[in-house]
Amino acid sequence: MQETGGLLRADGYDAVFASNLRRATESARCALGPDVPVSEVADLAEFDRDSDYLHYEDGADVWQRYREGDLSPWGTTAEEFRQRVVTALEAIRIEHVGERVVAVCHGGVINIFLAWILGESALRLFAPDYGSVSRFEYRADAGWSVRELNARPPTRAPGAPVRSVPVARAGASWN
Amino acid sequence: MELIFVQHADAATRDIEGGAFVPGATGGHQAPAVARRLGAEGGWDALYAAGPPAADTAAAIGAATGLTPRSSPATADAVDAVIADHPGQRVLVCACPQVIDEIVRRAFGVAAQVVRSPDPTGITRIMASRAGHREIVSLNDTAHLRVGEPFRNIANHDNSLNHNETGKAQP
Repeated sequence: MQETGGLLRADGYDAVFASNLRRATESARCALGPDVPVSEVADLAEFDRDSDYLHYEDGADVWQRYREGDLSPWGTTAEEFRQRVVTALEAIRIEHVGERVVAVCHGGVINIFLAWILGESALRLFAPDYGSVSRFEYRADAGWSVRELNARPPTRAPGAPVRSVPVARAGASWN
Repeated sequence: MELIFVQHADAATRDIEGGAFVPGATGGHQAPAVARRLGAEGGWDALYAAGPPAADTAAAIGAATGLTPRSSPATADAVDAVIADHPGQRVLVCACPQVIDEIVRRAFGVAAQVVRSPDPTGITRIMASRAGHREIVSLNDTAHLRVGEPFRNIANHDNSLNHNETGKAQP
């Protein structure tokens, strides 16, 4: 996360927000340091906020439900999740016109915001790495757009293949 | 296979006398920066230049990775041939933003442009299979233009910002 903080500082920022889940607030402080003010926003929390945390990489069957667009195991729906994430991020945008804002959050949050921008109903379009940076930009004349997804500081071991967690096509062979 | 697209460096323009594509005023540092990044990462199996504007960027990457750039048509359809020829490998393709955008739109299954302002030497990683599976790993990643070893000492950093100690950007 320190390398991620270096990337965020290089870009510069005017305000820092984080989901109120501990994994997000602690990531914000690890990346940017304990003295940087971080505003917690409950509606930036992941869809699993009311459930026990289960690593995506553990490959539990329940994640297949997520990949298929079903959030009922977590007591919510895709539309409810999309609505609260988009509403939260739009509120931040309106309060910070012309500024650069960091929002430390979760893979599901990033994905559903991306899908909303692209006009897609999918819950998951890509697999954000832990500590990665995805950038979105807003222009008054053109709305939201993607600027960058899953950017990482250069810490990957030479020659190491990228982590590939299936998005929606479990069993795909990358040959 | 892992397919990595690198958008060619900024403002490649045709040299009137020589007929060659040359970097624009701000593009001179970008190709070396992405070349250092990809050279440090290593483990590549092949390098392609999709169209003449990508040749200089591919040459810089070739020098850093030890690969000789191969020429490829600057079309999204030509990428399918690259995928077919390199099962299980890691392949670099230098291309123009239009080709990369077409690849990304097909992978996401969307009609509209995905990245409105793609950056020169932005890196787009895709997992691809001969069976037609495509998965975006990263999109327009420009960390090499912004921070970190081994990408320091980049002269004329046109994407740089001045910062105070809190990290707040200064105009």
